[in-house]
Amino acid sequence: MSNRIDFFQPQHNELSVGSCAVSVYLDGQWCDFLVAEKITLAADPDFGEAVLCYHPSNKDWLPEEVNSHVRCGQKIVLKSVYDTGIGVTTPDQIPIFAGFVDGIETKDTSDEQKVTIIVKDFSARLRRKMVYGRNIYSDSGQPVFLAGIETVFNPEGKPNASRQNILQNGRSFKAFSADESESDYFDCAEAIYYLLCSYVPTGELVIPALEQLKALSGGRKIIDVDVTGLNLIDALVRCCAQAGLRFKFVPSPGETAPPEAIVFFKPECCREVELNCQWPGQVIDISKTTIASVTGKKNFSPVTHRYIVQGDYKIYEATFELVKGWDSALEENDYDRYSPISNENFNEVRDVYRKWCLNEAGDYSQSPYNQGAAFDFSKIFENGLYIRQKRRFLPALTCGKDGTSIGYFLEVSYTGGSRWWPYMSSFKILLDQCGIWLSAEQLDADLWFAILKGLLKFRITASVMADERISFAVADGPVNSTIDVVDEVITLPRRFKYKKVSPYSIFVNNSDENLSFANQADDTELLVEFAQSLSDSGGFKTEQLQIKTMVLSPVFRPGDRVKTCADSRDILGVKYDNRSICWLEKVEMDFANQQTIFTAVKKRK
Amino acid sequence: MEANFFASLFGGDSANGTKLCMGLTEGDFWSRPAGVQLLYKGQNSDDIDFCRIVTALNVDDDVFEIPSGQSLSRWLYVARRVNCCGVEEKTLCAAVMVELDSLGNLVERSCNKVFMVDAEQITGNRVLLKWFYQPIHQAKKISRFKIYYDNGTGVIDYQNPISSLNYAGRKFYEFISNELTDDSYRFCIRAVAADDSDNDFTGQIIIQLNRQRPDNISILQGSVI
Repeated sequence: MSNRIDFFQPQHNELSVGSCAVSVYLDGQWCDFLVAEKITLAADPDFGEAVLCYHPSNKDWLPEEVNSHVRCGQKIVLKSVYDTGIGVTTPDQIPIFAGFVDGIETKDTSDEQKVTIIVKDFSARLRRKMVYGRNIYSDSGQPVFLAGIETVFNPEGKPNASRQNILQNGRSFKAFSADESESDYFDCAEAIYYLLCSYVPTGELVIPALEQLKALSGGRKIIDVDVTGLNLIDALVRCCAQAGLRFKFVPSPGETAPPEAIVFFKPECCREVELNCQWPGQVIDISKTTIASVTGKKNFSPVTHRYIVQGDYKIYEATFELVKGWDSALEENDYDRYSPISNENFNEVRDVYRKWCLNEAGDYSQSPYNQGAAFDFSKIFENGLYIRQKRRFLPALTCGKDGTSIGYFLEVSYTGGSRWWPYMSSFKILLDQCGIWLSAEQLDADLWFAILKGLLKFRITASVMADERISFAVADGPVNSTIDVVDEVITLPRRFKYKKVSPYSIFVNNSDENLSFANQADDTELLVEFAQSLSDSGGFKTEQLQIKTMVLSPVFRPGDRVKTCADSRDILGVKYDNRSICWLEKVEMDFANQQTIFTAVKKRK
Repeated sequence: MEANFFASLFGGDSANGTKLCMGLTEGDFWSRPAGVQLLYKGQNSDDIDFCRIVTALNVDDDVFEIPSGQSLSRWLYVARRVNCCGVEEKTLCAAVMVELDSLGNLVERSCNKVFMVDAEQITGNRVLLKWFYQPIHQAKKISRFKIYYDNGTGVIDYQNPISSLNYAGRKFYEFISNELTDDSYRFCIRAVAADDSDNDFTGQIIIQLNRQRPDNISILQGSVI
C-alpha cells in the first residue's frame, strides 16, 4: 500500500471540434456585447426566435444601462462562419437568422445579473398587422381602400377579383373588383400575393414573385375564405392551407436586399438531409454519426384517415304538378262561398280550391284528401337517398333577362293538364311544405269554370333542396381492410354548392328569348381538389422525434426531409419506410450545450 | 453503384477498377461492402478529374499516402467517401491544397487571416482598430497578433511590428495607436503562430484621419407656429 497519489495531465487538451459561435450584427454593425445563447428556427405557427445575452466586455457598461445600447425594434442579424475556400482556408460569414429585438428581459438578483434579448423574425411584425377592408380597383386605375367591407376571397364561390392589376407600394397585383359582375376568380397564389403586397411595404421583406407562388400552389382555387379581423400571419396561414402550403422566414443573403425573406414551401418537396448513426462497436466518428440522442413517440398506427368533405345540400329545379290540398267534402258549387269578400266564414273553407300541394310527405294521401302516393323525388334527385319529409319550394334556378331568378313560375291548366297557361294572379308560397295558396280575393271566372268542370290543375317550376350534400371522400390509406379508419367530416356549405336544373323542369333546354342562363353550380371539382389537398397536407403524424446532434451545426432548416445513408444504423426508422416522410419541424441551436436539437415528425405519404 | 465505377469492359482491371478491387467481381458489381474513400486531384476546384482515382483508402483509415509531386507544383486534392452500395458523396468539403517549393518541400500554411477589422478615429488623433479571428480550419494554432503600420510613409514596415497582442480566445481584439499627425496611415494585422510563422497577410487598412470639426451653431431662432 502506498500513500503516493499521481496526477496525470491529459496529452491533448484541445477540443477535437471547435465550438460553434455566431457573430451578432445590430443594425448592420458587428457588436461584441451580445452573445447568442439559442436560436430556434421554425415555420408556421411558431416561427423563428433567438435568445441573446447582454455581455459587454467593457465593465463600465452596467446591465441596467442596456437600453442605451439595445432597443426594441432594432435589426439583428446572426451570422455563422464557414470555410469558403476549397483546399485553402478562407473564413466567411453567412446569415443564419435575422429578426428584430422583440423584448428585453432583465434579471437582477443578489447572485445573478442577467439581461436577455429576445429576437423574433419578421412574423412578430406581421402578427401586429390586422387585415380588414379591401383594396379596390377603381376605373381610374388607382387603388381605393374601403375599410368597411369584409376581406373575403370569392365569397360563396362568386368571383370578386379585379381584371386589372392595381399599382401600390411599387408592386402590381390583383385587387378586389369594384363591379362584381365583371370579376375574375382569385386563386390561392393571388390571394396570398394580395395580402403580402397590400400589407408589407416595399423594401421590408423579400416576397416571392406571383409566378413562383402559382407554380408552388399548382393554381389551386380559393373559395369563400374570409380573413377579416385576422392578423396577417393568421390570414396567410388560412390562405396557404387551401393549397397545402407552409411558410417560414429566412435571412436574405444580399447586402442591399431586406434582411429577411418569406419562403413558402411544401415539406414533401424540400431538400433532403442525412442524419446518421454508426453501428455499435465502431470507433466514434463525427463525420459518420450526427445523432447523439433520440427520443420518439409513436402514435397508434396504422390508421387510415378518411376526409369526408361536404358542401351545401344539393338543389334541383323541376316542374312539379300539384294536388288538391283541401277536404273534397267542403267543395260546393257556390262561387261566393270561396271569397273573403262575400263570405264571413271564409276561414272554414279558405283552402278549398286555393291550396295546392306537392304531397311530398304523404300528408294528403289519406282520407279526407285521397291525393294518391307521396311525391317521388328519386328521379329528380337522381337517386333514392332522401327521407319523406316536408320541404319547401325555393326560387327557380332559371334566370330572366336581367340575370336574376324568375322566382316561382306557377302555371294553370283549365283543360286537365293538356295545356298550361302562366298563372297571372297572386299566390303565396307555403313555408311549411311544398305548396302554394292562391291569394286573390276572388277566383276568376276561367278558374271557376274549370273547377266546375273538374279540369283545374296547377304546376309550378321551382327548386327543392335534397337531403344529400355535395361531398367527396378521400383516404390516406386502405379502407375496407383490417386497418382502422378514422372519418373526419368537414362541412363547408358556403364554399361548395350544387344546383342543377333537372330534366323534369320545363326550362331544362329553354330557348325562350325572355330567359337567360340558369344559376346552376357544380363545385364537385373544387371539392375534390380541396379534399385531396386536405389528405396531402393532413396533420396526422405517425411519430414525433426529438433528435440531439453530436455537435452544433447551423446548416439544418425547418422543412428539411430526413434520410439516412446506406452505411448508417436506421435509428430513426426512415431508411426502409418508403410510405412515410420525415421532416424537421423545428431546429433549435443551443450554443450553451453546443448541440442542435431537432423536432422531427413523420407522416404517411 | 455509380456508373463510372463499372469496369466490366476490362474485367475489373482498369486503372480505377484495380484501386476499387473490382476484379473480384469481373467489374460488374461493387466489391467494397464496407465502403471506401477515394482521392482525386486537379489544379483547382474547376478541373478536378473525378474520372481518375488517385488512390483509394479503407473507410477506417485517415491518411492518404501518395508520391510527392514535382517541385514548384501545386495540386488540389479532394477526398470523397463511397458507401457500401457504391454511391459516392458529391462534395468538395474534404479538400486540401498541396504546394511544393523549389526544393520539393511542402509549403506549410500558418494561421488564418484576421477575419474582420473595424477602424475608428478616437480622441487625441488616435485610431482604434478592432478585429476578430476565426480559428476555423487553421493550419497552425494562433499564438498572437502583430500590428504593423507605415508611419505615414505609404509603405508598411513588416519587419518592425508596432504592437503585439496575445490571442486569448474568441473575442474582439483592440489596438489603440499613438497620436497620428499625418492625414493618411496604413495598418496591417497578422496572426502569428507559436513557432513565429505568420500568414504573410498583406491586406492593408487604410485610414484617412478627419481633423475637421462641425461648425458651431451660431444662431438659434424660434417662431410661433
